[in-house]
Amino acid sequence: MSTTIAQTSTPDEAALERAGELFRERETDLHRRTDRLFAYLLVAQWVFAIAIAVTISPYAWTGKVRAIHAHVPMAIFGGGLLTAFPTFLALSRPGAPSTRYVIAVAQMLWSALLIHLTGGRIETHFHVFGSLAFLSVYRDYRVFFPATVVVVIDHVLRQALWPESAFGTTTPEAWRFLEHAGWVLFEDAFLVIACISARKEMYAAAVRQAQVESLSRLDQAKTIELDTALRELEASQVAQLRSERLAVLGKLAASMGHELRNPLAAVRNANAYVARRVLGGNETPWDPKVAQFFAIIDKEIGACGKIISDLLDFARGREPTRAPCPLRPVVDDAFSVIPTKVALENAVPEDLPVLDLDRDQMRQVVINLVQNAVEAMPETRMATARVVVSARTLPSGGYVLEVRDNAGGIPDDVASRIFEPLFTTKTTGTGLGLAIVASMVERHGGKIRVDSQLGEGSCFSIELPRDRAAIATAALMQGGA
Amino acid sequence: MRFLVAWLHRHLVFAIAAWALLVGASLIALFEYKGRPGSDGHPSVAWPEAAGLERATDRPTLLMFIHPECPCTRASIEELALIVDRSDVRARALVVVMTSEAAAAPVSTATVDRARMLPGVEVVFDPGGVEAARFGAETSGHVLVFSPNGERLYTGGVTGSRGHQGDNFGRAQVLALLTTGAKGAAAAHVYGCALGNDT
Repeated sequence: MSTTIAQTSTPDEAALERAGELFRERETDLHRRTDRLFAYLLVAQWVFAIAIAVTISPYAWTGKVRAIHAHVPMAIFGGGLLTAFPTFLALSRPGAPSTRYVIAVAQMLWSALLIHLTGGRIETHFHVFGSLAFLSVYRDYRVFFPATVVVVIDHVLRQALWPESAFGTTTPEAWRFLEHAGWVLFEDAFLVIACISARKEMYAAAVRQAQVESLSRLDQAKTIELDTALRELEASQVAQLRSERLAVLGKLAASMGHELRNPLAAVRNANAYVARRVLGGNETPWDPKVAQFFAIIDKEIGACGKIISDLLDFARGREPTRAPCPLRPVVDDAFSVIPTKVALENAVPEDLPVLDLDRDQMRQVVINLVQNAVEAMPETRMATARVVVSARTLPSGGYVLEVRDNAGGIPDDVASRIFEPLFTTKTTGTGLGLAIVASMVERHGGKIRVDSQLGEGSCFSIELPRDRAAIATAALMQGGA
Repeated sequence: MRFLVAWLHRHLVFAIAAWALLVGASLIALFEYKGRPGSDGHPSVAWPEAAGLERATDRPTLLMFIHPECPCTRASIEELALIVDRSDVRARALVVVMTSEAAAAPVSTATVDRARMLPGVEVVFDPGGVEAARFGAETSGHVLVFSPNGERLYTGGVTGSRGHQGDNFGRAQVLALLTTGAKGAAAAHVYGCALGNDT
């Protein structure tokens, strides 16, 4: 299928560039593999040459006196010379052009040596043509040049110095070396054509592969797009579910809030009355804690009333009432109403930019997140339990508020649903705390996320942008200056 | 070792040139060895009276004196096979194998066995190299051709270089002699091991 596509479509520029890369990779790989192959062949020829010399012509004789035949050292040392350096290059510089040219020269000289070691047998002369064919495995027609030059030089030199050994006559014609070199050139011609043709096929294969890769990338991009669309659809369904739950919750909250607000007001009035009567205007009676507790009761009743209001606001979707809101005091205020043994640290920098935020909603956000972390803290970690609220400025002018704990982390399946309304893992929880946080953050135009590492802890990050009005004001002031 | 590799890579052109020179020198040494002839000896111009070998009286007699162990002589034997095969005149061909004086049994080496297998070629043994000395041959592979009346028609080798088969001047001379009867003007060198005086 892909082949059909590749054959019928024209490769674009990127595919051609990729094809070039693939072609070069394959060519280099081929050269390296062939270098290795020749390294083995050279060593094998060396062993073979020594075996021939030792078996066929071990000794030269003078009557009964024998001496090592010249073929033996020639096979060992001459053959070693023809093997060692090209093999060294094949192993240490595989794929380099100089390596294969040296190998080509060595391989052709091996033909000469083997011909001599085998007593000039006509069969050994086929080694020359076999070697040329073997060199064509490189698919680099340039290797035939040094190979052929070696053959020509060999015959020219021998014609000049030892004509009978090459041509069988002591007075060969001047052109005689061309007869031998001509047959080599004849084979060269075919092998050069074969090499060029093989390179073309290799390039065509590289183009086909590049096109297939290109199509595969397109398919992959489409798959990613489809996955993204599916995830968005899923998120949309979750949001719709959440919205429906919130609608139910809104009705319930409105009803309950309305019902609770009046009794709570009565409790607050009663508490105020009892406090006045007991304290009688004196804030340090017989027990100084009494006044303190009356103040706490009053403050918390107020907080309850506020939460009910907030819940009603949340259910009704109350927009934040923005005003310049320094974050650090908000965090201090939130910490003051969370009774806990866990160490709480306000690491919000003093010089953090002041954004226009709804102070009450931000206080509620911090309380909910810190309270959540404190309640999640296992008893076994209490000795080192710690919740840190910090913030860092964003280049855009906003900041990221982070609530980090070491409560042991949240499993992935819980983390993915943690901001859903009515979702809770606590036995006494309502599943509203983090949903309210998420809702408030969204109404501020912010984003909330949780990062967790099991066994370590979690970090809730709230990215709050600099509100547009403030940006516009700053821009105007800058323009005016 | 690592230093050597790095050095060779840094001076690659020099290394290749040095390698080429060494290889060239080795090949020249090989060619020089292969082209170095043995002693041409003092071949007798006529069939020696005291010769223990029998000369054919109806056709030429070809003698090849060989050292049984000489590896270079195998090429001479192959050339002899070619001469016997191609020549029109069927000469009486004798391969005279030098052996030790004390040799009790016929010598058997690859060269001798190959000579034995040649059709029309007779192998005889020459204990102590007596016949070789009579005929004046001193190098293995020395060929002498005599006419039926004992006149020497050819002396020399039948290979172009030491232990190397292929077209060569000596073989061409002998073939011409046994085919057309043309007697060559020059003798070819003999390439092979020295027969020695005390074989």
